[in-house]
Amino acid sequence: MIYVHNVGSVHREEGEELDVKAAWKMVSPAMIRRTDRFIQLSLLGAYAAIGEKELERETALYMASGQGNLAVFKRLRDQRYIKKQPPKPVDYINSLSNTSGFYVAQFFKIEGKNLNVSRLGFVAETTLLLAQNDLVLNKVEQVLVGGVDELQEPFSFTRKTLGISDERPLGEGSNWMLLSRKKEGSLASLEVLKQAMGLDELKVYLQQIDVTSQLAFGQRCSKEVIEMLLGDKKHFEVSCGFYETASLYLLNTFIESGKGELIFVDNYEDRYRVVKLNC
Amino acid sequence: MQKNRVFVNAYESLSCAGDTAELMEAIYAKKSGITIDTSYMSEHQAGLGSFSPNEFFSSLNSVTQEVLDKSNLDNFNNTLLIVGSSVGGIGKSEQIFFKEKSYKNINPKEHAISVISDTLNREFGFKDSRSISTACTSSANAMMLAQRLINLGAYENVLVVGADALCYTTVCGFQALGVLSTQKCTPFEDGREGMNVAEGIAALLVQGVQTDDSIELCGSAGSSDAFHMTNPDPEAGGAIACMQKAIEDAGLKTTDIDYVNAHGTGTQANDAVEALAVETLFSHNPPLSSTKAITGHTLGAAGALEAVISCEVIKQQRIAPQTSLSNAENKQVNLPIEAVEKEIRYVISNSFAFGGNNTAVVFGAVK
Repeated sequence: MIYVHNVGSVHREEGEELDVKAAWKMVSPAMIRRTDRFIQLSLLGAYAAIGEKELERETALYMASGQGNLAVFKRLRDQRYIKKQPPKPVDYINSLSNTSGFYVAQFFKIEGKNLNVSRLGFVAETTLLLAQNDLVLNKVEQVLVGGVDELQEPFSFTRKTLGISDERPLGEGSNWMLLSRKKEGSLASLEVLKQAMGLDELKVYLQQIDVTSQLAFGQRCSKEVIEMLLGDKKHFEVSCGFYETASLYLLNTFIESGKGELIFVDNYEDRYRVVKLNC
Repeated sequence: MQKNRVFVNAYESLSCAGDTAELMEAIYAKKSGITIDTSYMSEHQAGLGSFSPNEFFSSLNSVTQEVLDKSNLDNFNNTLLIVGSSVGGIGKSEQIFFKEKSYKNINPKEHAISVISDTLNREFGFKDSRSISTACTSSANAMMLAQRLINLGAYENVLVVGADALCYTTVCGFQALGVLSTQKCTPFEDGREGMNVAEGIAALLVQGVQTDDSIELCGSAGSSDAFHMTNPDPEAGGAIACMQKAIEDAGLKTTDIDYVNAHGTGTQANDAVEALAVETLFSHNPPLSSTKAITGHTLGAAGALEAVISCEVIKQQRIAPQTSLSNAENKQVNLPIEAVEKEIRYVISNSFAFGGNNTAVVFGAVK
């Protein structure tokens, strides 16, 4: 069993304004230069979770993203092919997947393993699973887990990237949690089921859960599947525009507001993954 | 907690030095696969490693098929795929952009890191897949993740694939950082010019069962310098920490290590710090060499490619020499300039990336 000790989120819906640079400048004016919005969003979310708390030096950092830093990739392309200029070194560096993780590690002065996990579908769950594996195996004492996805214009391109319909509202977020093996002082326990399941296996699993458990569903779960699986269980819902790591926003929201057990079900293609929270 | 042992039971690779058999011949003969190129930057000459005319994605499938053929499996349906890559499908997007001067027809799914796992999934039908992207430690971290999952008994079979193609973004990006060599790179040499960007594919089947041909994946660890985005900690704290933790994870002492397969990119910063780390950590001065003088730096694929080389070094009981070395910058480390035949029980393979992202993996002959 692993435990959640801190949670924090920065989240916005399509159409809302969020001046990430100004917000981060209030926290750390020294860490504005060379960082772009994606990196600042990462830092701001991690700060929302950890604040000024001093982390153990060996804390590991596992960061997830569905889309990654697409804005910097577009800047690099524009520099090369439209402006016919060589890439700016700072943009090339910021295009690397582990750059945000570096800045977060540097800000919190943590020197443990620093990973970036990137994929469409289950990116938050597989990153939590990584952390769970390393904690269970005593490889690390605590892990700072974050999921960061930035709202990108044009929105039609983002929807195409995510494989969602044109009508679906988008969002962005930087959602973080600090995980540890220590129960004392924790906000919740967390367990990620190791294996993905098919729908029939999932139905069997859900028949065995406690009657008081609440159910929540990932953004890729269809209405039909939710209705079928929900039965007479209480549905924990969080209104949220689509982004790949929004699962962490839902989990954080439950930890901050909920009580009892939450069974979170996410879906990608024909597979399902389950995360259990107990507050 | 009782941990399952972890074994590398089959592998194959493709780099500018050829397939694994050709690569090992090239390493021992000190014959570099790097060529001097101006096709990516007409205004600059650069040493690059290409496996052209082999096409990247078809080669990805054929390398993976070769691992399946060499394995004890009929298919990969019960195997987790873990990909380590830093480039993903950027090259595909570049081709479309070059042709059309527009983003309109770029397929985002073909651009992402996960295009590699998607390609392999279509061909082989894996049970599940993950993609790790931490620049030049990507596939070393994939090896570490595979070890953890087998340790835990979460999977019986994990295929680790490190794969990165040459593309304009990386070649021009490293040029912009001023770390590309105009010549074949010379790791650990005094006055070295820089690195050679290269493409590579390496696939390793990692399992919880031992076969006649197994190499043990004994330990692994990672650390983060959290020091500077592009420069390693000059005191080598992160590099030392990750090697030390990997050796501890393997249940070994530093004196058990018989060979250090270096990250050794040929850049000023990396090689100086890595040599210092090896000098500081290992009192018995084990042989150290970088095979990037043969393969170039295959970026996210480097950890997996050098895992293949480490396994081969153990199997052949023959240490890889340091190619292109005439005057080492650090005279305190043991850089063999010819292949050395000796008993090799354990090899540690280093991978370091921007952001001070460090990973070390320990391989051993099976006892």
